[in-house]
Amino acid sequence: MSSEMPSTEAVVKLHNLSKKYPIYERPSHKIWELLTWGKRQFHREFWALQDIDLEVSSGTTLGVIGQNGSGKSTLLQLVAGILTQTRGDCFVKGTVSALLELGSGFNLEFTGRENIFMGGAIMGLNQRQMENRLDEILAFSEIGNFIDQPVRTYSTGMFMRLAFSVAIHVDPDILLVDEALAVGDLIFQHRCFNRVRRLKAEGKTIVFVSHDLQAVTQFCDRAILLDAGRKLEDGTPDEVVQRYQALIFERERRAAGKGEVPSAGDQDDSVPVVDVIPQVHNRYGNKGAEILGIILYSLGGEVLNQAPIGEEVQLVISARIHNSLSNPIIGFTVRDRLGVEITSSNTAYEGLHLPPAEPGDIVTVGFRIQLPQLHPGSYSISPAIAQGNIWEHSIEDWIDNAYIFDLTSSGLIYGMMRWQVVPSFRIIRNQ
Amino acid sequence: MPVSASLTVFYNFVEKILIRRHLVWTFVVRDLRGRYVGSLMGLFWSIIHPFVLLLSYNFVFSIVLQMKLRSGPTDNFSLFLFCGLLPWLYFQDTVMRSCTSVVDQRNLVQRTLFPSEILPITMALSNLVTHLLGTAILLLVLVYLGLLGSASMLFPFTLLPLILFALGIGWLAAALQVFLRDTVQILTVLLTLWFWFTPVFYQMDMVPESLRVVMRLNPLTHVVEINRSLFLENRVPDLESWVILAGSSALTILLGGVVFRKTKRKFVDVL
Repeated sequence: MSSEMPSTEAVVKLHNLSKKYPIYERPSHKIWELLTWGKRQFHREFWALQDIDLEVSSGTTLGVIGQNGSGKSTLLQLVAGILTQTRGDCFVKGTVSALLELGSGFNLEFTGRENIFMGGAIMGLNQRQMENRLDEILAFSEIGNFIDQPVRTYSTGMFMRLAFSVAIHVDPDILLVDEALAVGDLIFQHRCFNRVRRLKAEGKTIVFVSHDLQAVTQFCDRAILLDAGRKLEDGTPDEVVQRYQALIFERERRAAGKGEVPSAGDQDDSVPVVDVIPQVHNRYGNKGAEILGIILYSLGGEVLNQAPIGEEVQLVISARIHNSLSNPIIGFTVRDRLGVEITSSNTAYEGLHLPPAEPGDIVTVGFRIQLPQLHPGSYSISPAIAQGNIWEHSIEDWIDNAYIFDLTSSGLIYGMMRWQVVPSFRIIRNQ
Repeated sequence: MPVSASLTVFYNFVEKILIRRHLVWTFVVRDLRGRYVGSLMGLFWSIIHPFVLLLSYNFVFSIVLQMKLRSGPTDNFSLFLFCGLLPWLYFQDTVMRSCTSVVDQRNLVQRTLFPSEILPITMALSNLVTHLLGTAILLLVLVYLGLLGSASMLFPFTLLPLILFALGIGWLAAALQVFLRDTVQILTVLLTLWFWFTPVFYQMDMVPESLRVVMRLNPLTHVVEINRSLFLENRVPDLESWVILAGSSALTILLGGVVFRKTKRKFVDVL
């Protein structure tokens, strides 16, 4: 990637950059601390950013991703010089324009034109410099005749467009963008991105904080992932976004109270080992494991070839291990008779972390399922066993359409499925 | 050594402000416009207000209460009062508005690379317009009464220390307000006390001798006293008053500037 080019010099150099905030429970604690000349501490410490090492070479577009509170904004504020670091070095070469919040300096009572000059002055441009840019700003913002009206009469979209135009036309060496692009209507967003692309083509260095992962992968040459104030990942946008998604996924799973690694005692001995594969349509995989059987049981234990919608059933899949698998995953895919994939799931996705398995082991997984209100008919289930995690895994054994069952319904279902609908009504009669 | 270090800090501080003078100017215009935007007569109100104030004082103190001064060239109490009240109001407005200025503009301070020190400067300069208009009314009345003498040309030499003193206190208050939001309340109380310990409503020679020494430590006492002798008596006061005034203002602006500069880096953390 272009960030690896040796000829470009680093314009942003961060070394061990850390930012600590004191958190005071009560305002009076500040006074006490002041009175004791800081000898006694009355605050908790909160590290918004810790030991960040980062070099951004000239012309790079760097994406910064992370969850809320991970320190993204703090990083931008430090690079912009708005905040002072607690520890470490922050070296920035060239003029910086920070789009942290659009329209911060706008006065609602003033006209758009006046606010353009105001915004310019805040960013260090004088009257003449702004006059040179005025036409371009006006054209870009598409405010039209409203430019001489007070900003308070503007719609949110107009306000944002004007603010963005001013900010982007300051012409900095380094542009810091914090989510600010996600404003206005889609057409304007498109133009904003185009404008940023142009700046990129002009060789500007851009640091781009966003939740929009697609934008990060599209735009950036490089990305970093921040988490709890630390840099977790630094690499190509694809790699970093993938890592971020895995992180989020892990968190959500934990939050749902799942995801504990079951020990031997946690296993459910009532799940029967199955060794029947009704049909083998198409089979592939690395053969590190082998599907032994797949059966759909009723909760009473009888084998189901047909089942009514709404019924709770258990799908059981057994596999024999041939090579040791550190992270086995067992899952299935359901298709309708036309081969349209209806749903898929697996142990990792459902938050069940299977323990490592050794050659000769037989692993059986039972999935409790409530049959959804799908259109009645014939459905197929394809079982699979894989090694890895939800994002990256290798298929060890996969059997297409191994198990067929009929979904029945006493009522009529229009279309592909029935939603849970509760109607209510009101009539206004013509008197 | 710390003195020269402080001077360097202050020098750099002022230098940076001068670089951003365009921004200062923009903010002063914005503040003045913001006050009168949407009103029909705009800045004209700044003339009406002191004028009506002077007329009202004249009615209450000279006509109703028939107050006379013990000494001096004019026994017009309302003119005497007005001379003292103008600089006091300038000081009070500047300090009070400066105090909350940084906190009020926290959006700018947090989100842009904004030199927050210009906010109190903005207040000092924008209030100056009102102050000068008020002073112009006073001078016109004095000319009309045939009281104005050449000594009044020294007026800028009390005005400048007044501005510097107000700005110095303004910087201190603004910085303190960021860390402690009660500052503005404390300041309101302090300013009330300060007002009555400044000879606005009375003459210095009415004050007991022992208290006079203390009151002379108050720079505003000198502003009021000097202005009165310049405007009403056409007399240049002795050097001592000038020296105390100039010295205390210089010290205050230095202190305010250095404190603001030193604490500024923590502003965004606590805003």
